[in-house]
Amino acid sequence: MKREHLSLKILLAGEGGQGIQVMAQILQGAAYQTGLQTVYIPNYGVEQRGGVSLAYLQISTLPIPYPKFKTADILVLMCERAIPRVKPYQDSQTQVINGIFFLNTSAQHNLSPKTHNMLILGILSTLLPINPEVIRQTMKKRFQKASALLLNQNEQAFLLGRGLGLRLPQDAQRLKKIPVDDHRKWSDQISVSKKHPKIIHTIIRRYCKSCGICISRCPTKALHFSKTLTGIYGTPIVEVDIKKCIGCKMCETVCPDTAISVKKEEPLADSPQKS
Amino acid sequence: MIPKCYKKESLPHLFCPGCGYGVILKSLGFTIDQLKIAHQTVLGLDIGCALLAWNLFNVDTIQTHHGRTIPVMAGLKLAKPKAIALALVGDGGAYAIGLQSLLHSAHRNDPLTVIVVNNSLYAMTGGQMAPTTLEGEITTTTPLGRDCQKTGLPFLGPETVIPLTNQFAYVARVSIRNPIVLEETFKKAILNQMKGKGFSLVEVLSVCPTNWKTDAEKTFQFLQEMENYYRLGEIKKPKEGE
Repeated sequence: MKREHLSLKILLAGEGGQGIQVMAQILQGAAYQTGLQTVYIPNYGVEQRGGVSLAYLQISTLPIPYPKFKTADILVLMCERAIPRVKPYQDSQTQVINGIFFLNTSAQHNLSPKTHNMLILGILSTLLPINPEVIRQTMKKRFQKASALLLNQNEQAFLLGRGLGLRLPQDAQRLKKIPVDDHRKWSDQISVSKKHPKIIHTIIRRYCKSCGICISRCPTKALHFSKTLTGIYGTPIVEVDIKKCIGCKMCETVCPDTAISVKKEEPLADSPQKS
Repeated sequence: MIPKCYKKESLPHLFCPGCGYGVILKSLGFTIDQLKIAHQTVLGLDIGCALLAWNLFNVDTIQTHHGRTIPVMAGLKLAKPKAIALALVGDGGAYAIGLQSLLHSAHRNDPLTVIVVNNSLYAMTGGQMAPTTLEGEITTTTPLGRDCQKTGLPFLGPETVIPLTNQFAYVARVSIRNPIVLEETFKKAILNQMKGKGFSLVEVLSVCPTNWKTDAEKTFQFLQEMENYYRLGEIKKPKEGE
């Protein structure tokens, strides 16, 4: 970073819903506050969520002529599906931050999996000539409508990421070392109750998009978001507290993604049978 | 539980988290299973979020131009009278660009089942105001809320169609809040077609958490507001014994 003219081209890539665009917006705001020139252009499909989402961000001391670029100086990767999309932007000089490597780090530190993007932002910020305090202030402004808890968790994740980024050897961040976690091989989450009649509650992990409808409709509040497992969109899946479950099948009925099935071994004699 | 007529390879489906289409298509799938009509069903999809269901079912599927699903399905029914034609249309496709198709189809009493999904805005294009947007509702094109003085009252589709229909038509409005009622209504609407009686229209009040920017609880609070304006129930039933 000792060049006279600084010019950084950053490509952020991940699953829609992971907060790629939020990261880019925060960095852009912080760079502008620092007095740098900055351009950001989002790129995502009509799906809005569930597609690959890219953000092209440039930070420079000189005016930026064109918002897109061919090779990135820093590549931030948050999901496997994005790899074929970002490969063309990588050359031997590109520094890669492999966010897939840190997917469970937030949860290990008792933070919501939603804060994953702020963790990666923390790591990324160690490579940028921007004061982290400015980034934190921008983050606060961006999340002013969010709950205080989430803001607090985001700030913690950011600081955690910053600590990680300062300690990490650069080799560990290379694109080659991506742990493969094939979602087609994810196992279903099956819970079986001990009391009689037996209730078998199955959540298909790769179908759950964490919309939260089952949680809000459950009559006994037996469902909650997982602190460790994430679903197809990188968001926390639903888990059941089988002790509270009464086997009413409300979650199964309202789930839009057919991710839940409930079986009761001995249904009551007078309950209506559904074919 | 997964309907038998779903194509399992295409799951998880393409809709947003919490999308109302998930519940609607699941109920439709169970209805198709229950009536055992998967081999003769043809599903017509409109432009809009509806088309994301293009690979969800193991049934024949057509995707048409915006608002033209109903006439395409009417044509299909003329060519193949034994087919069961289902038209899945959004509120923009049915009540804005394709309103003439809907009205003429109802007027001709085509033996079709039209399912209109009303989520009060144009969802796929980013949440613009639709004819069905509620008074005061904030969308991307009505940032201060819909002003009914300028844009008219929210459009009542089934009530508009009913005067054009004859005694064989089945017209109902349901909400995704209760998937079991949804399934029963779809069953009645499809049976009306199978008996060869005539036109059936089901408007489903749906939710769009992505464009409403709501979580699960607030989504259903807003759905309650929609249910307060749009009257639920079987608005017109075919006459018995004819």
